[in-house]
Amino acid sequence: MPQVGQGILKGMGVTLRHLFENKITRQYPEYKRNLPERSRGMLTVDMDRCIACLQCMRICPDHCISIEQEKRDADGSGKPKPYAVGFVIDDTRCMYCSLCVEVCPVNCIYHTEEFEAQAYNRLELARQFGERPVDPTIDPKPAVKKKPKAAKAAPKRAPKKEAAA
Amino acid sequence: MQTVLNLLEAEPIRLFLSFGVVLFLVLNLAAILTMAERKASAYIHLRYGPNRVGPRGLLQPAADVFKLFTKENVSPGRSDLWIFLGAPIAMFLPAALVWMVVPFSPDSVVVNLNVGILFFVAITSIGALGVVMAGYGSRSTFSLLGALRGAAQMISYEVPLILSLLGVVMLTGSLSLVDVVNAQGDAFWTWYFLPQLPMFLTFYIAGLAEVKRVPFDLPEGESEIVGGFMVEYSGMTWALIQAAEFASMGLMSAVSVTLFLGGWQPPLPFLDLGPFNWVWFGLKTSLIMFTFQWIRWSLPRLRMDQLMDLGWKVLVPITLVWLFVTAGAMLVIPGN
Repeated sequence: MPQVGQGILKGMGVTLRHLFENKITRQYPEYKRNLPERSRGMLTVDMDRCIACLQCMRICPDHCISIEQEKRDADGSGKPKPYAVGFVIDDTRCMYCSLCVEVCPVNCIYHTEEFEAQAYNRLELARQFGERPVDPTIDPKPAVKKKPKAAKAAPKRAPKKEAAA
Repeated sequence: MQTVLNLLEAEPIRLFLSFGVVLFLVLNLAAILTMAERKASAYIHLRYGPNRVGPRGLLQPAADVFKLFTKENVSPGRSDLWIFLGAPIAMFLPAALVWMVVPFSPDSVVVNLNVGILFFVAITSIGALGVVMAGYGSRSTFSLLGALRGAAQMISYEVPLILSLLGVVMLTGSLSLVDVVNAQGDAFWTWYFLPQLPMFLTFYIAGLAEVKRVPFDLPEGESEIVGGFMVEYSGMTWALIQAAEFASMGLMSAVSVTLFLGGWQPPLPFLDLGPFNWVWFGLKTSLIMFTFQWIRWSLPRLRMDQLMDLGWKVLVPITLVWLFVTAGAMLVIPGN
């Protein structure tokens, strides 16, 4: 009987103490904490270093990078080399997997600390880097064409039959 | 000028005007309480709560009301529309009407009914009807479950609520709330909460159950029946239900202050503020309302059987015993 209500009073005491304690909420837009060292923000490209090798475009699982390439003698050596005239990164598709960063041979594509990707129009999130804008709505890498099953199956079966014979 | 004032003092006009003022106060009280509720919950959770709209977030209720006004009022396809739309009104009107008999200060009361306590008891019972209407009219399973729980709970707790008032009625010898406050005297040791402490606690707990607040929020029960009787409401009908909840919460605080904590009377005789004694009424009511919110964010919800046990096996016997104790004391102690 003497224990009746003790738990209630204890709990009420805890909440009353919390009422006057310092609050721990971080007021986000005014206060921004430092991001971890290897955090992955929105991608950006250093176009001066880009050699238009298209590896980032090819490895991107979300097809979010489109590059428009042409041969151009940019350094005046007389040999036209591949040059990226258009480079678009569509942040509505990017999933921050960092594969393009790993694959880039000249380290020209990298993550920034920007992560607040918001816009009134989805197309605003497709960020253009080249001289000429690229249409981000066109899929740079159409889905891999499925080979006809018969053609795929035939060569596989053929050596087996030969071996059996 | 004097003729206009005399006209305003004339009986039907004075009644309507003062009830309009009280209605205005009640609606504002509901809005302020939503804000207070969110702030109290936030501070208890070590958060800041709403602090974006207006200075220190004080305009948040206005923003909420504006948002709810612009929302579409959706009703379930096969609902009983008249009952569905009538339920919020049936819940809000009783909560607003009882404020008519609550004295804010000696002269500020809409009608000084000589059966004020009876009026309070009778009108608050209508609130249960609103809950049942909401659950039945929604034609939704969760709503109906919530309404059944609400009906069972509110009718059960009506009994200890009324019984706990009887001690005060016996001591005062009057059913008028103004007389009850006058009989309590202007010092806190003469207020009724001391001789009637079990009754006060019973009234407090039963009042908590009557306004369906945690730990007695089974009709709403958002973790099990996702909102109970108000599941199907949206927009302004939902806002009206919320206003009714908060108005009845404020009403229960005000009535417990009036009956047990001396109404407008100052806690010590030299603190008498004369015509500004309504400040004491406001302060005491705010304190009780704060304890309601404090309890809400501290205690878990009761189970249905625990709720019924508490009501019928604990509160009703306590009130009956203390009723006899009060009656005996009044016989034995002279001068009462």
